Amino acid sequence: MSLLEAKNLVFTYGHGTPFVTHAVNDVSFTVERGEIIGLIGHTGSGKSTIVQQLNGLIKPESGEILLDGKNIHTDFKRIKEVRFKIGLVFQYPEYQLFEETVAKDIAYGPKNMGLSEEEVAERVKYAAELVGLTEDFMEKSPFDLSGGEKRRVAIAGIIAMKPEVLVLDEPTAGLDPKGRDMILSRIKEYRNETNAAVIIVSHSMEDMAKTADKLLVMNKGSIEKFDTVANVFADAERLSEIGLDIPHVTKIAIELNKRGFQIPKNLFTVEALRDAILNCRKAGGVNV
Amino acid sequence: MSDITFGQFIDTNSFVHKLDPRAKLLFLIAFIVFIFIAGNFISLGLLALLLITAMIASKIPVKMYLKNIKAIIPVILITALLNVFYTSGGKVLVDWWIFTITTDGIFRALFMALRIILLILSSAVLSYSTSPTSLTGAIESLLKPLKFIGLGGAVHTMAMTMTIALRFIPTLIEETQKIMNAQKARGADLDSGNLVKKVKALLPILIPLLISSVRRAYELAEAMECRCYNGGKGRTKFRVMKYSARDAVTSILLCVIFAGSVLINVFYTQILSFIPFI
Repeated sequence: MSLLEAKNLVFTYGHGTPFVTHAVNDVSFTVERGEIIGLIGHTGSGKSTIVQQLNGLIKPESGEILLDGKNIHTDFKRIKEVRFKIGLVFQYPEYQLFEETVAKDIAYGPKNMGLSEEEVAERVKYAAELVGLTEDFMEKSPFDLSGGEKRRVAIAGIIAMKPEVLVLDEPTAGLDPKGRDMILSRIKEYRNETNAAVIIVSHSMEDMAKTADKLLVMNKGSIEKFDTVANVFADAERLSEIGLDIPHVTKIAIELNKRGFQIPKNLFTVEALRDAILNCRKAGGVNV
Repeated sequence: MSDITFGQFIDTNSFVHKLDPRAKLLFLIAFIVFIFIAGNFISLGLLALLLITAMIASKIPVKMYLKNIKAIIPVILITALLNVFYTSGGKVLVDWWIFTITTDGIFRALFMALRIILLILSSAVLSYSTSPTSLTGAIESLLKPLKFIGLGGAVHTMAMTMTIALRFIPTLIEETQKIMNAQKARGADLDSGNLVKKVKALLPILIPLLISSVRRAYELAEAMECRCYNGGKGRTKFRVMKYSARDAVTSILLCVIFAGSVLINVFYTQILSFIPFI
């Protein structure tokens, strides 16, 4: 049984007006434990709507979301529990910080779960360490931190709930490259430690190439493709048709392939391209 | 929550919409004054007729106007009831325990109800037919004489404040929605518990909202300064308000009707004697 399953989700905005848009149209997919899934798509392709449906903030018009095989909308009371199991980090989550200290802010989620004080303290420590916040941050006001640090506090606030599915909407938007790599590596770390499933919404193909195992490509409210990263990036033409880009590495690989070199088109990491080029040279009799 | 709209401007580009907002604002003020001057059904009826004409000319669906009245039905009922019981004189209809209902009481109740309805509908005509921005522009323009007592800068500041406030209401609503969702995702419980609990549950929403409002204010102030904003002095307008022939004709017509309503007031008894069946 899959951890999370979305079945025929449908959602429409602007009912009864001339501006009806099908934000999500018959979307189905499954998420397994330990997978990192990149959710990519053009602006307005329905990514954010799907993400908010997953933890019950938006109720789908038809279709259902199954967590451990059970519909999340069966019971009004269950929805809160579902939100702890499917942790959602919104876009620009640093704007939701409100407590006096970093520690208290991270504790907000676990406290709402009704955990004991020791358990809450332990989880706060765990989440702060995981996102790389040292002890001396804990008593600072979250409003005195830098943008990247605030972002990490906000993500720790969700991780402290130890969700089985961690959903992040553009977790690296507006961060510098160092901050971006930091956040992505911490998210991977969480997956490695807990075997949780992770869904990341992103516009950055570079980030996805580095982080994701599978890519869910959305186009105009429907699923365009749901496959491994290599297979998705292999079809660069289709991706650019629906307004998406491919990583620079893949672009170079395709260009080399076009010019007659024996290099596969679906490479997306620097290391893989390096090895492919070295192999190519060896095959051509060049000593390396 | 997202269907809260501030200012109820509906653009039908009708005759009423095209009137100078300053004139419209003055018309409304005058109209309200004359509603209260009118002392009998005939002069109030004349004003009602004028209002109905304006409502039809505005090309806004009657349903929209009725919505306004629906909202104040309790106020109308309470005022009417108080008037029924507290007015004496005329023929006694009901006399039970401490309650006495007389014909004068019923007339007075109906009269007050009509006054309130006219009051609401006339303001609705203005707010439906004038965008919030042109309304603040009109206020600014009408308060211009204040510069003679040294308050010229304050008038512009106030008008700018109002414009900015109106501009940011939808933004704040959207922001509130976002923060609410974010806190719900962290297990915030906004609906259950007693009053103290509910107020406490609002803090995680109000604090981020307040902080982002302050941040926004700084950003906007900087953006305005970057575009060399330095108050109202020497500032020209993109949309210049013009008192046109259309406004002049409307003004004259209104003056005639208002005068008529006053005349009816003054010569009420004489007019009644001409109508034998009342």
